[in-house]
Amino acid sequence: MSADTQTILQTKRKFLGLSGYGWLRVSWFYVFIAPWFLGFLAFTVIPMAVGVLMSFTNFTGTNFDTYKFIGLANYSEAFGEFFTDGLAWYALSRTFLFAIITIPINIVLSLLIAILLTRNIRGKGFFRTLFYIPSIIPVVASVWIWKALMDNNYGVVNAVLNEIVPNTYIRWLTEYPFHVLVMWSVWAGVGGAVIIFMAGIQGVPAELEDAARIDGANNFQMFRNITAPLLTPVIFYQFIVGIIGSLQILTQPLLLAPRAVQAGIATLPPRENYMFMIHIYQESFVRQRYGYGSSLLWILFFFILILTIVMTYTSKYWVYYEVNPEDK
Amino acid sequence: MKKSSSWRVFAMVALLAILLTACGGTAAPTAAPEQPAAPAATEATAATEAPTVAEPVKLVVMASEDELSQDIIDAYVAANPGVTIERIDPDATKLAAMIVAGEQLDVIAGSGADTSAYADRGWVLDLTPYFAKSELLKADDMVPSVEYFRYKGGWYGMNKDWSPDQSFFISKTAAAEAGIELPPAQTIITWAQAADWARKMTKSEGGRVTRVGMAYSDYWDGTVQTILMENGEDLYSEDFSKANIKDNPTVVAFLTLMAELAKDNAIFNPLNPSPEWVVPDLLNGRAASADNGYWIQGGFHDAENPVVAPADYVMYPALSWGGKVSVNPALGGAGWFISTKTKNADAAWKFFEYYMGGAPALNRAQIGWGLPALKSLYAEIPATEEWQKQFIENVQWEQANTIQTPRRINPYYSTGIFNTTWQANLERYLKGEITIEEAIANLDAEVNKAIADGIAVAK
Repeated sequence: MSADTQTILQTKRKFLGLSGYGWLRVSWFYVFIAPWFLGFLAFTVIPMAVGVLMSFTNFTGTNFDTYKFIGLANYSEAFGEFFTDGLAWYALSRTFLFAIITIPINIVLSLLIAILLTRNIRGKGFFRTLFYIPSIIPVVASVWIWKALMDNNYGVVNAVLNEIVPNTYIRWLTEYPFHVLVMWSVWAGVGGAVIIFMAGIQGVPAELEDAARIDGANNFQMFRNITAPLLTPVIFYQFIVGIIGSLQILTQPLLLAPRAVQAGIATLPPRENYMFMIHIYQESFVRQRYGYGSSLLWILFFFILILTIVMTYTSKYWVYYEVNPEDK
Repeated sequence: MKKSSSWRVFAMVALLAILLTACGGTAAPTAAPEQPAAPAATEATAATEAPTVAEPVKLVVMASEDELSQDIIDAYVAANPGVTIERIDPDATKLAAMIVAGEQLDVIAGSGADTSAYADRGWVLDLTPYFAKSELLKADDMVPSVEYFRYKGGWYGMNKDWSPDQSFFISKTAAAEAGIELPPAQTIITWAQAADWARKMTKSEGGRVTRVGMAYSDYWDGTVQTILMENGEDLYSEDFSKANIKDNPTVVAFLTLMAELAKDNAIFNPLNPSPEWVVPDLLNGRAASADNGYWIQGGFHDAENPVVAPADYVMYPALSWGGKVSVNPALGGAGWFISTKTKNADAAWKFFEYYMGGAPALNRAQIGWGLPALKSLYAEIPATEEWQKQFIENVQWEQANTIQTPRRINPYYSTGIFNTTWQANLERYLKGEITIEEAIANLDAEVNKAIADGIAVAK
């Protein structure tokens, strides 16, 4: 574009704060984000809007011609279950318990492993790979491996235990299913967190540690006063990701159900693993109450949103940034 | 053209290319995926030759690949120039959407349990006139389970095969080990007797159960309905608005019996579930008896290197609660309907007729995963082994001497709710969290709530 043309466009009257040349440049931005944006509209926004609308109806998945608007009845029923110790409340409580147990364990364990792996130890690369492998195994495959290992009658774990203490057959999948689920979650989740923590630890300025060492600080004091504070943004991130992931757990308890040949509508995990998403799945696909299931999904969404907002608000008291995020 | 303009043009062209490919038309029908071991569509005997259709016709059939293999489609299309068949995978939501949107859908694979719902919604054609004229599918040649496809005087479809679903199979070796003297074949055995045998045949080793006495089918709702039918009772009220579970002594007694068997690990249960399903359980010696249908014959026939040979099993009529009569209908009926959205009802019927009475029906009968829906094809049932012959003799005896009337299907809820709710409460009972009375009361409440919800939606 010639300088004269550019000048002409820039001096033209502006529309919404932009001149013609400005609009020309902005339009290219929208052209290039259009594919993603259209996909976002089609596969995220519109389905979410349909889900919201569905939550106010008695849609069963097949009554396209007879469903009707029922107002807040679905939400009323769901909150009624929460306050009367119904199945929805039970499922939500199990889900929160799962989150409360697995998130701290994952964070503490992955941080400890990351600290060890940033030391100068022999075979560091091998151990990094070893801890990371569970994170890259597809979820279905790894859950089924665990299911085979922990099978009540034919599992490897019971076979080994039987060698040590004869006639020992623990019904892992039916009497301790929650324990198995937690163990799997920690085993599968630690690897990814270790990598992120390692990156955070390696980002701690070496001069701070050198200065602390010169001042006579030991390893624990250096960790407590230098490394940990500088890792709080990473810990905060892990908390948020952990909350979002653990409150939505569905596939793993379904696949761990003892009789599950495949995770489908007929699969019901043991009661201890009856998570909120499984309750939603049962209501939607077994009881064919898509409207009610949709309302439960939105309730879960708001729970997660509220928790995330609370975590973000409280982060100002315990998360330390090297650069103050409020500084512009 | 300046450099900045030329790269913009290039970028625009690239972007348009991407958008055009992404927004391509509806996906063309994919090539048939790798087929499972489906029966080859061989030429059949009289009255099975595929009829010809004059004008070009496209039929859309919603059926699984297992049910409608590419071989069957190819054979029909080859014999009927001008006819093309598009198979789509079954999906309840997609079915509803297609019907409501008015999209072409000619044949629907479904269950007899769906007949009332489909007919009430106007989704399926009344095929009474077609059946009346058919030379291949005659009413008096059909088995009783075709009744699942009749509703309020109309005849909406047909089952592709059937099986008495609760016949009793028991291992002769396991019975002998437990000191059980088996009665002659075709003897009606009671649930109480079978439960006693199950306890005796259960084996444990250390802390684990190595063999359960009975691999119960988990047809909880079906078993409850059929034992009530012995005395002319029903699980549901006349208008299906209520299920009578906790107040019916027979139902309570049956569920209590099975819960006690579960507690003794004499049957697979939520705390000691089967790792597979009934056929490998029986053939690998993990279970000594089972209440399942004739269809397990197909699994027995196909088994390789079984630990317990199929010949070790003897088939009896379905277990009886009262001991006087046995009720053993097919508990459901997998079959076909013709949709009201068909573009060519006559062509759809001809394909329906071919599948139900032609070469595909003959092949299904010869394989033996189920019994033919047409009695005239019974001669094709596999009967080379002695145990196969015994199974067929039992089936024929049951057809003549037991109640084969199809059970009543409640149109207001899915029977899966009965089964999953009972399993969940049985688990709590086995863990000592609730009493058996509470478990049954919970089941009654959940089932009736589901029925009430279904009635509210139907209004």
